[in-house]
Amino acid sequence: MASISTSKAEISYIRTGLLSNPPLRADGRGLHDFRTISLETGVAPLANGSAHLNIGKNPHDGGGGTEVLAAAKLEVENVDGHGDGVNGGRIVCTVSCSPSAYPHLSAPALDDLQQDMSTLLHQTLAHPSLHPPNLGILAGKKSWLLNLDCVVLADAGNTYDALFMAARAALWDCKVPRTRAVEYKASSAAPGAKVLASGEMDVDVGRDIEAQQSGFDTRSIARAVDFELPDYWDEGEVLGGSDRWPVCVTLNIAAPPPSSSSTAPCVHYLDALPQEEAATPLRLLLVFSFPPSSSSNLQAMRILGSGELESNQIRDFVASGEQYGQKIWNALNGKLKEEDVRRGQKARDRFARR
Amino acid sequence: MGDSAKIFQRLHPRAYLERFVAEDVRPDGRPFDAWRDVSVNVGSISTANGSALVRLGETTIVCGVKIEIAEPELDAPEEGFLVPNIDLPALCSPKFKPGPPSDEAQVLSDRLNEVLASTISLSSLVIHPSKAVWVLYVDATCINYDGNVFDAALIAMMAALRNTTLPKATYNVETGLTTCSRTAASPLQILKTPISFSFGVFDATLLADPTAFEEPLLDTTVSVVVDENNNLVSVVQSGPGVDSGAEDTLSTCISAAKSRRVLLGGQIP
Amino acid sequence: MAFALDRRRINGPEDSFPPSFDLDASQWKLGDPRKDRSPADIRSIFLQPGLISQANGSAYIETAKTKIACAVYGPRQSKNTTYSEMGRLNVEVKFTPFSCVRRRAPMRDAEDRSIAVAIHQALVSSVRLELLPKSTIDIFITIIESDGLEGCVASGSVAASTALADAGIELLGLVTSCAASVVGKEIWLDPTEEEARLAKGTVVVACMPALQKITSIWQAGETKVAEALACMDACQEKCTEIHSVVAQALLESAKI
Repeated sequence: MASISTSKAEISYIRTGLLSNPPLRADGRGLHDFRTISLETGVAPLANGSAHLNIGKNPHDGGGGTEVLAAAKLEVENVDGHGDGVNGGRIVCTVSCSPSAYPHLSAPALDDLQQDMSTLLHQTLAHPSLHPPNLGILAGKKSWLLNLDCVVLADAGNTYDALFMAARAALWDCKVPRTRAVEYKASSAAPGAKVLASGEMDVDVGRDIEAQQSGFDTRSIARAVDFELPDYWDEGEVLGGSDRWPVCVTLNIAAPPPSSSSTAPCVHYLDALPQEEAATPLRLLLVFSFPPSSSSNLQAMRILGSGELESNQIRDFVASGEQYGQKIWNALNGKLKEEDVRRGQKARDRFARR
Repeated sequence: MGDSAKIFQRLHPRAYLERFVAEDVRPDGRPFDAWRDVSVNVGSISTANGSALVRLGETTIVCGVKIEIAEPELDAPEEGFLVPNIDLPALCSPKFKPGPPSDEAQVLSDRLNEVLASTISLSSLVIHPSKAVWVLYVDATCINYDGNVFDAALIAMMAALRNTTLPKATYNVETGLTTCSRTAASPLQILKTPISFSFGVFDATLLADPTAFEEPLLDTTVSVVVDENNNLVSVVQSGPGVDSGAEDTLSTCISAAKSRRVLLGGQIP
Repeated sequence: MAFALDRRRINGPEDSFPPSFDLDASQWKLGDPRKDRSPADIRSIFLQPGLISQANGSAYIETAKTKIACAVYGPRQSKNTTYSEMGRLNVEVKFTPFSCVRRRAPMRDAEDRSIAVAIHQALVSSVRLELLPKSTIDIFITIIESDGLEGCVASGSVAASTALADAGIELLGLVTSCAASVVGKEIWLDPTEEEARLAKGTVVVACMPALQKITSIWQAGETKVAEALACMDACQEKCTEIHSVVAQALLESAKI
């Protein structure tokens, strides 16, 4: 992580505060308290889904905090074996960091930081186990490429948690345009061809139209040669599996310095400030998904920073992390549903005014 | 080697080598005209279509051939591609830094390209004229840089090429796609097998197969490339020639290379 | 694949594609029992320290198809960086163009860096960097043949730690590393590329068996918490065995 320059005295002060009983943090929070999180979805009109997230905004002047913007944009890709396109579509995640968020970093260091964040986000979200079912268009020909771009506008600590929350919100918000397979054929109606909900429009002579929900629908692969975007009142269907996108919990681990004689146990705390991140370099990143019907899934786990842990410590951390993750998950779901209602309301208001 | 000898070698490399040469021996114990042992191991890399690992003394080179299919150039519809490159990564010696190819790597790739051009007829790489041809990517990587990398790399590239097979490929005119058979394959047609022999001149003394320690101290280097019929393929000399009485350096090198080629011929698979 | 013409290399045609074959060879499928070895077996390790004479320390590791060479240079003076009280550990990973099924054009890509970061994480807390102010230790790793990203991270970490020991750099302990995949309901150690691709999730653990400390955990894919922890335990156990292999290899090379 990008550490800001912190003096030895500061490091020792912060670490002693975290390890004392009761623990003391600069902003008065308990070890396992988050700062205020604010979230808004649908902020980028040209993206298929977007979200703007802030952790730790100053309540008095509305400034400060870690600020992340995430946007999902779909584009059509050929599946011909030569390019990168694959049947069923794919996801590419990219994180870029605004240089103004990291004024102390040189350009190559910033590149490396962006790349590390991108790699973690991509490896986690583009894993086949989370792949949404409706990114295919025409099997063997066309599919959607979902670009998830995240921008870190300001870093006031805990960027990984912010990135995953923003990514989850943007993907939740993402709508996949409806597509219809188009086929050129002499006869006007093929057996088995069916017109789905959106297809009550004119059928051109000599052209057979089939609505298709996804590229996995293999009934018409052999014949469909192209697709078109039907004009329809909404932006498309919801990206499948939207309730599975995981959340991240970063457990910052404060251990007494090896040189000291203190026997205080090592403690973990959440939602670190940049100074705290610099003082305690060891972190355990846990990315959870909580399916409604079964027990929680671990989607990624990383140890970051120098330091070492024993396996029973990791056990304890994962168990506590799971509880924090569940809380974040519930709160985020509540907020996302609220946002859906708010934007639905806003759209209806605008429609009524016309 | 004692510590003081090591320090002397580090601080005064030239004086160090001069003292050895005055005793008619080289720092690694070889006579002036002796070569280091060569070992070649082929086909050990399963992800490459042909591969070879070559050790020349301590110098170690791995080479892999990857085959791909491309459309030929418009002005040469019946020619495939042969693309040799050598990489001298930061791993192999403290004198290299990570990043793009160093000057030395560029020069070596270029010289290897020149020599390899005569070994394979590009027209034997055609699958379908002006539509599909084979591309042979011949990539060598130096794992340990202890001098005379050119000789070792050429042996590695030739051994890897001789280890390469091309699957039987058919071009479908209607779909424009090429499909290859998994079972039928034939070896590459190789016209000749050149081997290079490099020499260095240090204070009018001719040293065969110089090491990484000797190389920077040489006044002149000569590389003689000879094929299996003992015909000269190329001779490259950089630095001034030295007249040592009856025969000039170049002729000495050429005759030494030819006699060594006969000895080495059986060893190269 | 459009790329700018790089005049520092011999260039081939602008576009070329790997050959496609007429029929796919019969492949191992999900649900089949594991080929060649039992779930708890790892591929046999060949480890040779000190092969690269130009380096301060080096190691070559081979686990079945995976082949990795590693060299350590340093500690040497840090160039163009500000004063630092602690030494720096720099890890660079490079794939040879022929190391994967599909040819890798020689350009630094994200995968190289992500492996380098993972290996750095595995090693950094084992090296006594506090004893080496103003210095850098460079670890260069060349992957000659790869059979799975996870295997490369694990074997690369083992090779790098061996090379550090071979270079005589002070360590708190040797780092060994092992990967495990959750395939169906079983845990398969040291997965190949194909196995890891079909697995639900994969865990790579690096630890210092002598101190019973874990230095890195890298997990991706969907696993239940209990499965991930079971993988961690299985890996840690295997790491102890690998530790004796590494120690043995180092002892033998020191005798010569």
